[in-house]
Amino acid sequence: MNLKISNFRLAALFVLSVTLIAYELAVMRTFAVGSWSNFGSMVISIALLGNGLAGTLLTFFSERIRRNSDTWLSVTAVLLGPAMAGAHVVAQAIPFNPVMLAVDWTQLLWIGAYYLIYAVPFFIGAVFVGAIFVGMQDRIHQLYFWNMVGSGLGGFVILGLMYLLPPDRLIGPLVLLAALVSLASFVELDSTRMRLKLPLGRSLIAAIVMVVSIGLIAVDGQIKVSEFKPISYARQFPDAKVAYHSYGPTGEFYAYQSSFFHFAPGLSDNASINVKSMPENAFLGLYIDGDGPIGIMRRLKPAEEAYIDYLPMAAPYVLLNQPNVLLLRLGGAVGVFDALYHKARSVSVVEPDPTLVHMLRDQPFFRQYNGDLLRDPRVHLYNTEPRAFTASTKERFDLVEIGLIDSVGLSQTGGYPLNENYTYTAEGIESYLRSLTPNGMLSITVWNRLSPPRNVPKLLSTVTRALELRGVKDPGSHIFVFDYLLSTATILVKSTPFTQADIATLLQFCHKTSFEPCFYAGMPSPNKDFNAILREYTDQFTGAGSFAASGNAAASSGTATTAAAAPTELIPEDMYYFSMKWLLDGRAQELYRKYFFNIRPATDDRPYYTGYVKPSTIPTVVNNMKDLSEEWGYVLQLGTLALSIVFGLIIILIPLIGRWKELFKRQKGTVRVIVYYAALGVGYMMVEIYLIQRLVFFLADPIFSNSIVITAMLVISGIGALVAGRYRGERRRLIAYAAIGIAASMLFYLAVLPSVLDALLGLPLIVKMLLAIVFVAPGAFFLGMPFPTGLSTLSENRNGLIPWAWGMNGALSVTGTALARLVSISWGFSVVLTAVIALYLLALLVFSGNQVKAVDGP
Amino acid sequence: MLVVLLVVAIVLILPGSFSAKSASAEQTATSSGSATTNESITGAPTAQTPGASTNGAATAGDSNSAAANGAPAATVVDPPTFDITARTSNPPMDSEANYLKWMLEHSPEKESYLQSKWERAQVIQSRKDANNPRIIEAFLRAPREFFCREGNLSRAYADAAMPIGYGQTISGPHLVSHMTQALDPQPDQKVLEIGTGSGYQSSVLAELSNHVYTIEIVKELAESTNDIYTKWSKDYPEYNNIKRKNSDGYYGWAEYAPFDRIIVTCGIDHIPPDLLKQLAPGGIMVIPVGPPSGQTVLKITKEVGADGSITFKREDIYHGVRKVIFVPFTAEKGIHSQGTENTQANP
Repeated sequence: MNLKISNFRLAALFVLSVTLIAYELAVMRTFAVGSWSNFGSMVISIALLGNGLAGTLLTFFSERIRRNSDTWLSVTAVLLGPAMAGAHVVAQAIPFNPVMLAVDWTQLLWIGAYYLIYAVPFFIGAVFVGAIFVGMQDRIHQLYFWNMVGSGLGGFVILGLMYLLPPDRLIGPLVLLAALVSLASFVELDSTRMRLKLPLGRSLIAAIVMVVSIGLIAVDGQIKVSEFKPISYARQFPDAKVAYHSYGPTGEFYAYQSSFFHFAPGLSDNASINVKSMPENAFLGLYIDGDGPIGIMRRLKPAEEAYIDYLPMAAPYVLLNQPNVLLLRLGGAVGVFDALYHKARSVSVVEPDPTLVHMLRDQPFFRQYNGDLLRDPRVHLYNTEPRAFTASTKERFDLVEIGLIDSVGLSQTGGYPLNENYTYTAEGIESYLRSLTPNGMLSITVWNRLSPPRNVPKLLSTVTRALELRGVKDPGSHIFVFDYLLSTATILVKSTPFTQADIATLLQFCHKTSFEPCFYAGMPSPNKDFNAILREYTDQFTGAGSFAASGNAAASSGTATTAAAAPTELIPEDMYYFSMKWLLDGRAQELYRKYFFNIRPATDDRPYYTGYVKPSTIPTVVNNMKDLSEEWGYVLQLGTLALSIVFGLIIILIPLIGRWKELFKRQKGTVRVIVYYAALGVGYMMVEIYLIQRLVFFLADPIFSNSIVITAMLVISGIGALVAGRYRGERRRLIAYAAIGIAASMLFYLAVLPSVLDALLGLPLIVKMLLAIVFVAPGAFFLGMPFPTGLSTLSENRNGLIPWAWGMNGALSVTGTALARLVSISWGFSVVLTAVIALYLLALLVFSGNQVKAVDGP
Repeated sequence: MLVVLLVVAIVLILPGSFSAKSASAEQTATSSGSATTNESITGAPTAQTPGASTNGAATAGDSNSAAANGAPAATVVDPPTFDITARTSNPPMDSEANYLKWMLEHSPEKESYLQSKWERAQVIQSRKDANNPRIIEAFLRAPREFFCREGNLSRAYADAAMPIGYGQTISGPHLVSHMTQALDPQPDQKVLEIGTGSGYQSSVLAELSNHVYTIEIVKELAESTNDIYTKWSKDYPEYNNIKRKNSDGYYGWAEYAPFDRIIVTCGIDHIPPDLLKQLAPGGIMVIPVGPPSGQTVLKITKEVGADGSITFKREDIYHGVRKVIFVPFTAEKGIHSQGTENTQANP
């Protein structure tokens, strides 16, 4: 192929790679705004398998493609734009309703329809990539480089577009990019004049297709927002008015004004007796990507403020006099009002979301609404991540408060998000404790609505671990816990032990508010059999013990207690009291083993505040989904993993149809080819997901973490591929070096990176972004070598298998994504990285399989 | 030509172009703030007038829709249009055949639904969601299928919540029975429901009490439910006892307070103080907590001591055990969360 033409083809591949990754992220935004982001991740993961399927199918046509690669490229490039636009528009018409999943099996068909619809553009894109790899086998390392760099840049392109366009307009510019791919694919050699030309007819067709596709989105591309999305309720309030609307990479923000908003999270029932009146029309409802609402409070008149004394967040103030307060997260500024009402002499607020800060502090509407609260001389606002602030500040606080910022209390149709949360890890809580004055207090209020309890016991074990990390000898004397049934739970942690006077004051507060004390040093025991309680929590899902139909199943186990005959009463406060007792009495492991849910402490290695499913209880959880609907996030990850394995097998097996003899009898080493590319597919994505999850902590925002890690990994891996291309003669040694480099990088991530991130947390964001690229570099560089090196080996010996290897790698990368998440939830990041080392060593071992010579030729 | 097409494409991409259904189209008022390129500000903060909530629109039986606040006024009890205690016969519950025979003679329901209802009632009892004969009879009388939407009629008696539009659901029959048993309304007691929704819960309550009041926030839903009651009021005269209004249930219905029973069927992050105020001494309030697909239920009892002190007792009526396998509540061991108006009392 003419060198200039092939440069145009490389450019086409580059732009197509930009487009596909940007499209993937745009579709995920569409799901986040319209329904539920977890569904979006799942659908896109599976749709990406269209990529793998394309590679597999191309194995059957590789010879035909080689002869007509330009035609294949032109056709797929023209189809990409309408496929992307069409998929977006058609997907909005799907009547999927997550609420009906439990009773209506046809809802599963609609999920299947999403897969099929979104698989189309990815399939077309993958055929383009497969065709270019087959057509330009002599430049595999360059192809791989431009594919990686383009994919990497795609993340940044969509990030930029998110600042400029609302979510339902993001697809349009990508269709424009697809048209550019078409033009770069059309360029051909004018044989008469020996120069390059762009065929006008085909270009005109591409342009018309582009305009029609974008027009389709403009006319009918509005995102359909589920009627069960919280924002849909606000839109039905008769007097609802949009007070604010903005969009950006951190989400689409809507603030609604309505007299129907009522917020007083955890308010004691006693307020109805002792408070004259509740403030009316005191809140705006803020929705981010349709979820929420967060109540944004107006400045109250003094007569309206009395109810604040009946909120759980008022508790620490009964022990503190004019404290210096640190609020971790701004929310709707209720905590700031609370602190000022309780005569705080200074209130520092840490909020990582720049949009929220800008909105509440700078927007004239909100400034008027909250009485310029955030410009009050006593209030200091810091736009950074809580952990970064506590790591870098020299200031010490009498009170550090985290008030109801967890996600398990909101009424969500699809379960709570299964994200990394470094705010509620043992290391995080330890860092907040470090920010306290000698007599200071940490106050954490969370939702207490999960039944059976999950988040509160997990937080108790995490707080206890944090105190142990601080070297506190008797953690129990530093903790006071109270809750309000099916409402909120508050954990107070004091730098010094709570005195008897402190405890008496807090008990008086609990009495006044009806909040239920759950644990403090010296609290009388409920005098119950905790073993029986733990067993009962399990039996209710397994149907064993006292829950068995016969009513005496537990008795036959030989460990029967009275619970076998009469079910033990399950009261959250008992669970909290005894959990604390066991945690303090050295019986933590026994507690974690015996309780049905995973309540091990969240740590920076396993930062999942909402990860409650144990691998051993997966079948029981799946069987009880109707009663454990909050665990949908975990089950969806499982579903993604299972489907990716099924699809992976299909992709691996399809090329074997009718070619068993050729592939396995006449040619040796095919199994090794499979193992090699499967290991690379799983391993690469596990590293990528690990780095995204780990750097969320460092970069303060998942958007930054995702875009920087994806871009840096792909670009640097591309460079690794280019470098590897220079050593074609020494492939075996190259792969060995790459495996050693990968193992060394993983050991660096495992042993050194966590403490380095911790130490550098307080640096400015821009410096941290650059450092993040430096941290990603060693792993990404070496990870970029094995794949193209393997492909170029195949191109020499068995080039018909190139699309197959490409497809397998793509399909198994979805497996790697789901696996990384599930493994890190249950066992932590360290196990993920250890698995990566094992996978790449396995790849090294089987590499010789790529060098097989066909007995009868290819 | 290519340039023209490119310009057209860019114009179509820009926000606000063409799409009549764009989300931003709902913003109608003028801007009052300094908006950046992607922000739009609507209206100035509204002047707040406590007690001036005027969004209520009364429908049947409502003489005054202004939401009053504060302590309960004198009790107003309108005589029932139809007295449920004056019924001359009740559906037999000894066998399916007898039940079907009686219902086919006395109600407009089809036999297939009646069979499904009978079967569901047996499961409700075996799972101990409800075992009080009065509650079971109310369940067997109420025609759930009348309150389901067209596409879900075949699942009317399935153990599931189902959508009814506007992001609302009709609660599953087990949850409705469980909550109704926890509420245990008597014929002469006044029952307030917050969140009429499909109207099914009110229809069950109307089989148990002569004085049912229900409030719905979504106007369209309030109207469609009103139509259902009107349509069937001849066959079910007890529906004439249901007073309903379209309003914000947060403030209760002060003019008819106090209520002996209050049932809330919509999520909120706290118990509205006005509802607690409007709860009569000894009264019971039942509120589901959690997502539509998996709720637990909070029961609040307002107790008044001999010294006049008021106590609110909170209970989880499922006791941490979900719907499928239910442990019966034992009152003496009930979860306690008691409040008092004496703020200076010692713990």
